[in-house]
Amino acid sequence: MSPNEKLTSFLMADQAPAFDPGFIAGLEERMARDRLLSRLWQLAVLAIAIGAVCFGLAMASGPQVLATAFSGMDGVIETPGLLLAAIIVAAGVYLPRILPRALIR
Amino acid sequence: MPLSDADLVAAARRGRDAAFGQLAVRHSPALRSFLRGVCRDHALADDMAQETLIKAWRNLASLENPDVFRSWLFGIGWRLVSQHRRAAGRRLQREQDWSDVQGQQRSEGISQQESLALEAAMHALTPDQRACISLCLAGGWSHGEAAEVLDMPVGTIKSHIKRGRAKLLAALGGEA
Repeated sequence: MSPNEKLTSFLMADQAPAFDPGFIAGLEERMARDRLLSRLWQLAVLAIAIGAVCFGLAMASGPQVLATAFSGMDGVIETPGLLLAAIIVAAGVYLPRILPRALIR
Repeated sequence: MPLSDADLVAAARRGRDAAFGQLAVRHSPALRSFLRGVCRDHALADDMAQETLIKAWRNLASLENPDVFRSWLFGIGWRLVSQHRRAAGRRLQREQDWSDVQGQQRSEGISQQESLALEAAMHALTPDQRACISLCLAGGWSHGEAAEVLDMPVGTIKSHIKRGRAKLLAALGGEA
């Protein structure tokens, strides 16, 4: 082998495989984790904002507005199975969106 | 017909992670090879490549011309490696490199002695020279493309390749 060919061979030893499922899977996992964290942050900010608005309304309108709001909920909460159904529907809708892809497959 | 980089970038910008996955499948082998050539440590280079792809994915909105996705991606990788090099102590890095070299892929048709001599010569090159050698000699990029990625004039790229190649050949006892 000539020195040029040896140099080429040496440089070729750094070549990564053309297809590496492990590398791509690692990347997709990091992307999914990143996406999940970003959504959790968005939800946290939204929850804080809604909480602040509700707190402001309650403070502005007085405690009786909360009592009025919750009195209308009595019938809904007491309906058998309604809360469970709501939890199942929410889990069905949101879990596939926020869980990393690797966990769903 | 496979989608162009620009089409995949547009889809990824709309939130389709699978489109970015296709871009990663398309460009990660060359990106990893380039970073391996610069870092001289395959494990570190692969970590850097993954970091580069994640950074590109997060900053996809800032890519002005989707047609130059490949150059943009490699530019991110080059800057990340440069930052890492500055952060890590040079002596520590050199020791790490020497120990890592032992477990890496062996070149065909080269004796272990020649391989070690070439590895030592690669370490003796400046990072800029290694990057130019890795992109143009190993990766087959044009001088213009390399100049865009590394943010250097074409004349500097040519000079780095000429000097770097001469030093590597000298390590093999060939013409300098």
